[in-house]
Amino acid sequence: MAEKTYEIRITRQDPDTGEKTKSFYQIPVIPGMTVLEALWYIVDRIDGSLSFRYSCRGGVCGSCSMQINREVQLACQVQLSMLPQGTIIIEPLPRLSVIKDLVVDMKPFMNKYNSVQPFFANKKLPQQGEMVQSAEQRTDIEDSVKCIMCGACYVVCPLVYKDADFMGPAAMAAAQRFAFDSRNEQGKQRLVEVNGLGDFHGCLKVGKCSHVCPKGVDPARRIEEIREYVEALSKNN
Amino acid sequence: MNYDVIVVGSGLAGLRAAIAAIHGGASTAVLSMVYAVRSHSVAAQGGINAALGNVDPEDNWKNHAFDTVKGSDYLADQKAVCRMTEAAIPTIYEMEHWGTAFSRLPDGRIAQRPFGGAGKQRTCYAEDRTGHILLYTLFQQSVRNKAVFYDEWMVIDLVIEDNKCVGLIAMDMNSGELKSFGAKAVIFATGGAGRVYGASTNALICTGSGIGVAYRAGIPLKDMEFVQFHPTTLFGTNILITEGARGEGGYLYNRLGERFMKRYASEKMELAPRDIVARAIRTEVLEGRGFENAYVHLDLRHIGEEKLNERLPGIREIGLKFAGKDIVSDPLPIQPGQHYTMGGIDCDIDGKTKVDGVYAAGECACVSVHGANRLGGNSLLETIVFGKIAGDHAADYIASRKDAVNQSLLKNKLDAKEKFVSDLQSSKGKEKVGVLREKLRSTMIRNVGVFRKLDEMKEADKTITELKERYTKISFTHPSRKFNLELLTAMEMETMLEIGHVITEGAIRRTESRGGHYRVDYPERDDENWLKHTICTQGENGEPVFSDSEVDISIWEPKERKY
Repeated sequence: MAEKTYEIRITRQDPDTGEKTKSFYQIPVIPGMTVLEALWYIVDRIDGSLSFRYSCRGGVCGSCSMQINREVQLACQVQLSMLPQGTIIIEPLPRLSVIKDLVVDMKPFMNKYNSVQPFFANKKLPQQGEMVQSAEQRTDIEDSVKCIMCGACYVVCPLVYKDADFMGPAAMAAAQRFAFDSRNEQGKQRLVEVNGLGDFHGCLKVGKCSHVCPKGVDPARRIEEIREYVEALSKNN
Repeated sequence: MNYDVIVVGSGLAGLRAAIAAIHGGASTAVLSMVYAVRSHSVAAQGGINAALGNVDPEDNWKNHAFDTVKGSDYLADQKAVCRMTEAAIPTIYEMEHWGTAFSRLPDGRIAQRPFGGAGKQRTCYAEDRTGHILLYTLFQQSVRNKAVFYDEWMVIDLVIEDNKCVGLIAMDMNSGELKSFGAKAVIFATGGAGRVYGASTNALICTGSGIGVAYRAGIPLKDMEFVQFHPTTLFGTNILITEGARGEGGYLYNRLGERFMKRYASEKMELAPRDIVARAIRTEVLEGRGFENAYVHLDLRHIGEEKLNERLPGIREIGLKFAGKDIVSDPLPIQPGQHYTMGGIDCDIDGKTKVDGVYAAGECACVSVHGANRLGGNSLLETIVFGKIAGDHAADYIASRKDAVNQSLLKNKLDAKEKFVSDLQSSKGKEKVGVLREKLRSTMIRNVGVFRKLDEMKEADKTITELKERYTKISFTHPSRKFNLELLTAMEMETMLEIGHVITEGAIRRTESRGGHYRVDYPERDDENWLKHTICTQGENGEPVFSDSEVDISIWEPKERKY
């Protein structure tokens, strides 16, 4: 009897010519093997020319987001045995330009994240000790701080697809995180003063971002919270 | 390109160093193999120690220092430890003022949990994602300070002239091109070398690359034989299960249903220091009381779903996604795994190495504040405290250095490295670097692990020598340099072999047991002969050459360590 294997099909792209090809690999069945481990298996044992990103292999660093059977996921969190039978299809994140194989250019995503000025810049600080924040106040940011910048929400957002300037869900969740943090002296007003309002209105409420987020940030809900604040603001004016 | 200060590595130590250097007026760049937020600091879970006294008002930084020294099995330098634990308090407040979303007490102050080897409840945390929350804070502050990042660059050589830092050579991983960077100060903050071992909790990028660059440039390494094995890593993947799980009340059980820690640390039980708990688990397994001869159970069920969700949500997620176990209803199968590199680049209390302008901070450095065994919650602390110190000192140093960087030397080094990489790529042997790497890892974890035996270590030493020989016969699938994982692995592998060699020979040389280094044939600590740091430099033929240096025991007299 032939040894049982998984077949994996990977979309490749040559960095020099831009030519796209598909490579097929047979991977032996090893209990618990993740897609990321399978990719390393390929590089170490079959084809050293394959390129992908990796770091923590434990679902916290956000490096290995890619399309697995057409779903955007972290390769380190998907075990081969969890996938339906048949060839496993692995492709780079969509809508970002490919550097090589599964490595895409994350800079547009990162730049948009940075553009919301995602940082504290409090001028008044306590002389002694910490700024007090109740556990309840902290719940306003407890989901948005879980973001690992994997870009999954960004590449599935239909508005990012339509409008290259749209900041996208992760950056908006970061905007929410800083505006809704009870300790930030800029307060929610920061959404108007720092971030402008255009993109918050732009969200089409499709909710794909929350569906693909591997960490439960729920960007759609975060954007909704921003919208509720902004609408209350315009009513008051 | 030229900068005043180049920071290598973008984890907590690197980012804090960069912010300090920028604040000190230095033009600063950060080179890293990964985007900053992908650094291994992101994976730290349980917390960061500081004697804030929020839970235990009696606590103070001296208690913290003593616990650290005792935990280190008296190999830590005591004044350095005091510097760290005293700085811990303002460091936590600074991070909080920069927005770190710490978990909170009912009165809104920063929460603190119990941790291994600590006499008081002093570990500050953000659920079980403390490293992630801290790293994002420093990344965000780096954005605020307009830090210049070279993302996905691998540093491959340090350039030195007359014992002064001139700059470095690095590879752009995306294009594969090599470039030289002039810099009067270089700060290594490249993390540990955990991936020299199999069964490591470390990120795949933790191959000790920075430690290797410094070592090859003639900078000594210190105490490399001291490797921490974390008691609780998930059986199978060796993903970390935080000590905070035991801090929140988790129990360890063997196959017979015994809370076996009563035999090893009757007072501290599951919260004894890591070296002791790791040996206890290995002993249970070796004596036939483990499950499947491989693991024991970490039981959190009695803590209850509500508290588990509040305090350990990440652990619940890891259990579900990587082991198919829900901590609310199932015990987790756990075993010890390589976790931390106590040794590293030999540096002083200011992060300075023996070369002027070259600094080290964080896990890649050995100040030493962890000695023979690091306490949980002290690594995050070390990164931020000593990252800042190194950055401050580097900025001061460049202000005092008036000479111009020797550009022709940089050019020569660049050409030499260009040839080195070309030669490497054109080698025509039959060996696969990935196969050699797996052999090294399995050898290190089997033969230079929790319990060390002379014959096994000698066998490892022989294997490493053979692997070094086989390494000269590797070949590559593909000639391209663009994001070529095989090539990057090969360059890392050169370092991993050196580090494996230094660890193994250092462990053979140290004929005593102390902290994480346990010799079956020398089971006692031997202060008379071995209360000293191991120093290792690379010899002319690439071999490790050892000497010793003094340990600072000026505050507390070494005593037997009991928990």
